[in-house]
Parts: sequence; structure tokens; C-alpha cells
Amino acid sequence: MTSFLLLCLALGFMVIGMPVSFAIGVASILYFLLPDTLMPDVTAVQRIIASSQSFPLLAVPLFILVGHLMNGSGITPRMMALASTSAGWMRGGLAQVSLMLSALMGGISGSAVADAAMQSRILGEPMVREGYSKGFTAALLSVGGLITATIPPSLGLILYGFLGEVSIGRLFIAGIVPGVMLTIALMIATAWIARRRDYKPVNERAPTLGEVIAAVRSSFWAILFPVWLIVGIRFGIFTPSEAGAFAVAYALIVGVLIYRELSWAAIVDALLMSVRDIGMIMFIILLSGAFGYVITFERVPQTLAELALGLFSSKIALLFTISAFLLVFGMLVEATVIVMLLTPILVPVIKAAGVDPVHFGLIMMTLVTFGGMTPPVGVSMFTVCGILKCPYKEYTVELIPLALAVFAVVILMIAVPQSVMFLPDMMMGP
Amino acid sequence: MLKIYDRVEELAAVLFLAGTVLAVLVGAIGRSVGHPVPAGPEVAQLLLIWTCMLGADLVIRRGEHIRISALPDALPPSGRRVLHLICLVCIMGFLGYCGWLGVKLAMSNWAREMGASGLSYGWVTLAFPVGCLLMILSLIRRLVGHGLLHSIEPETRSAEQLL
Repeated sequence: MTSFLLLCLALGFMVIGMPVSFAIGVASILYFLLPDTLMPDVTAVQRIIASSQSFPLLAVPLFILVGHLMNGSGITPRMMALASTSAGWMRGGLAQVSLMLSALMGGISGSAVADAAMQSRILGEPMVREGYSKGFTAALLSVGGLITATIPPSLGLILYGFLGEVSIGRLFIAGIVPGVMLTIALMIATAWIARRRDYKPVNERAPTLGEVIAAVRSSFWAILFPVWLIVGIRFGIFTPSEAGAFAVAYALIVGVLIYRELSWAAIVDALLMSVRDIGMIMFIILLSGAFGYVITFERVPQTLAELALGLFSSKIALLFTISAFLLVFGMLVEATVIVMLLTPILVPVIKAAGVDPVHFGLIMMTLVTFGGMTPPVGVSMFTVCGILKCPYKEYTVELIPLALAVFAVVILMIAVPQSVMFLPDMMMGP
Repeated sequence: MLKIYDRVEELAAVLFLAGTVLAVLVGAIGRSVGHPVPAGPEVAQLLLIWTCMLGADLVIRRGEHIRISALPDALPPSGRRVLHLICLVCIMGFLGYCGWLGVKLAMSNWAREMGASGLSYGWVTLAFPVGCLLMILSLIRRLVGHGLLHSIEPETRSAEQLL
């Protein structure tokens, strides 16, 4: 009962506009101040500090820094060249190029919003000039970020893995197939729209093998990155946190020595922007330390798990119900916040029902990240529409076919768990 | 004067982050060449909490912490002021009380040594109260410089978020 009040209190603070980190912090310290809480107040502070003292958690700040460094390292224009060589000949050329670029950047960046923002700056203007409607351009560039967020490395999956105590290596590998499925589904939807509206290809003909090889060659170092990342984690050469540190070193070497585009000022800039992002995200994680302690102490996950197991007889029904809830919640609340609040609560529930937490993690992250691309509240939507000056209504109408493609993939992921799980099971054993 | 204070804090945060990367790297390389450096991860975690607290303060100074602004946005400025005031009072109370608990905790932790590096665990604990103090100062500065209306939100909404 007390824990239910605590949740309501935290949500209440959030609704009145208190920064999420403090809403969680203030609500949990109030719990400790209650007269019938036997734990001393100092436990709260102890939990907050202790939650930062975790080696796996280091992956979060390190991969945030990797993302910012890669942006300045000259990788993006090379990836763009490769994407337009390999997808520019298709109907709806620029649109397909943008999806291909999302998939390629997925192996480097782990953030949907960063990808959507970057693409709107590079591709937004040219697409509108080529005759694509503004709404479609904005919706496509925003949804493309979902691919980036699913293909490893993925910041969302690192957070989920840390909070739910799930192997980050397995989550990374499990993200590959859904990422590819999303790319294909969105490309099919785009091709269908392009046919109806007669959006033209950019290139006259399909590329020759030689052209593709040349494009791959110039972006070789960038494409290599996700490969050694996965191989290294799979064979235990490094843990995900160590991989983060190696990735920082790699981005510096490629940017400074090989491409020679990363200047000293850009490095300092990347560090400073990362420090701010880290301050924002990690402060929520820290203050959730006390919150999570209370939730566990009050046995909330166990109670919920018993309740859910009594209500649902089949795994699939439970997954669909939770997914519907996550989708609706995701449309209203920021993805980071949902992951922080719900992962520790939901993972024990689905585990008790016999669902693999890796499988669930991919479903959850896809849905809540997609929530950021939908009205009424969506950071990706706000960002892209802001850059392209696109009205939200046009954006929403054009989003519908793309959303259907995303839902088709999610339904497939839920109904056929093997579609997500066979790769991690094959590579790392069940 | 304030500018120097801002620059020093930014510089410190950036150095802490760079140090975190370096410490993890040294630990990882050490492990893979067969000379484990157990102090590496410890130092990384120590620097991490300092990076986080300073980073959180830098974000407060810009009024950019993630929040759900739908309800306040729907209200007229007078209503928004009331909500912001409630938030500010709660946040200040939280920072003050927890900061004070943090100081006590740091003092009682001072004798506790971390396993491999021999550093006092108090250095880890100390980051929290120091961060709280910095954040209180930053909130006061925001309140004075930007008024209640923009105390916890930026003047322009161009910030990008992460996931």
C-alpha cells in the first residue's frame, strides 16, 4: 500500500513538472521520513551513492561519449555515401537512403533522437526539395531512429540490462535481427508509398559491384566498429563497459589519425556535451537507487508477478497486454523515464511468467522508443518537426503507414520469440 | 567571477569524465595482457560519481533536466509559477536534507578503505553532498537570474534528449 502511494507521489511530482530525477528522489526520501519506516533516513543517501558504484553502469556514460565523438569524427558523411550508393536506385530513393543510413548508423550510435536530428539536418531539406511531402519526410526521418536504437550498440538496451540485471551482451546480439526486420518493414512501407505518389529514385540504375565496394572501402573503419564490438563481447575479450572505453579510444583514433577530421576543439565539445547528457541520465539512475530499494523492500515486483500470473494463463497474452500498456504509456512519457521506472518492476514479472528477459527487453525498448515518435508527447517528433518546421498534424497522418510497419514487426517479435532469440541463443548458448 | 566558477566546474567535469575513460581503459588493457590493475575499475567508479554530480549541476544551471511539461505548459504563467514554486521548495528541501545526511555519511565512511586502491571510500560519498551544495547554489542563481518562471526550465526548447 505504502509503495503504491510512493509510486503515485512520484508520478504526481512528475505531472506538475518537477524534473523526473527529483520527482523520484523526493518521493523516496518522503518514504524514509514516514514515521512507520524503520530504516534510518541515511539509508536513502547510502542507496543513492551505492547505485553509482557499479562497473556495468560505466557502459552508459562511455557509450554516450562514443556517440558524441563519432558525430565529429567524419564517419557520418562516409556512411551517407555508402547509403546512397546502395539504396539510391530504389523507388523513393532518398527515403530508402535515409532508412539505410539509419541502419548503418545503428552500428555506431545508440540513440534514436540523435539519429533523427542528424538525418533531419542532412536529408530533410533535400527530400522536401525533391517533392516529398513535409509530413512524410518528418515521419520517416523520425521513425528511422528506431532502427538506430535497436541495432547494437543501443543506449536503451544498456540501461534496461543494467536495471533489470540482464546480460548486455545478449541484449546487443538480440537487437540485430529486430533491427534488420524493422529496416526491411519500413523499406517495404516506403516503397508502397513511393509507388502511389511516384517518388523517384536518385540514381538511374542499381550500383555495380565495384561502386559498392568502393563505398564500403571508404567507410570501412566505421562499419568495422559494430563487428568488433559484438565479437569482443561474445568471446569475452571485454565486458560491455570495457567495450565502451575501447570504443572511445577507437573513435579518437579513427577521427584523429585515420580520417583526420576530429579537431581538439571538437573533442572538448564532445566531452562537454557528454558530461551534460551523463549528468541528466545518470542523476535519474542515482536517485532511482533509493526508489528501487524501497520498491524491492516492499516486494512490489513479487506482488505484481503473483497478480499477473493469476490473471493471465498464457505468456503471449501477458506479453500483448504489457506491450499495449507500454505503447500507451510510451506515447505519453519519455522513454528514459519509463525504462528507469518500469524495468525493475516488469522484469521480475515476466521472468516469473517464463518469458526470457532478453526477448522482453527488445519488445519493451522498441515500443517505448517508438512512443517518442508519436503524438501527443514525443521527443523525436518534437525534434524533427522543429528542425523541418512541420506541423504535428501532417506528421501524424503520414506516420500511420510507418507505424503499421513497426507494429507488424513487434507482433512478429511477440508471437515468434525465436525471431529475436535465435541469434543470441546460437552465438552465446541458451 | 561567476564565469570563472562556471568554467572551472565544466573543466573539472570534463577531466573527471576523461579520467573515467582512462581508468576503465587501463583496467581493461591490464586485464587482457595478464597484468590486472584492480584499482582501475575502482578509480573509474569514483570519478564516475563526481562526473555525474557535476554534470547534473551543469544541467540544472541550464534548466534542462528531463521533465514532463505538459501540465505546466497548459497553464497560464501565474499557475505555472505556483507549480514551479512547489517543485523548487521540494527540490531545495531534498538537496539540503540529503546533502546534510551525505556529509554525515562521508565522515563516518572516512576510515573505510576501498579494496585495491587504498583510497578512502569517503571520497566517493563526498561527491554527493558536494553535488547537492553546488545544485542549491545553481538553483538560487537560476532563480535570481531567470526568475521563477524559468527556474527549472530553459528559455528555449531546443535541447535534444537521449534515447
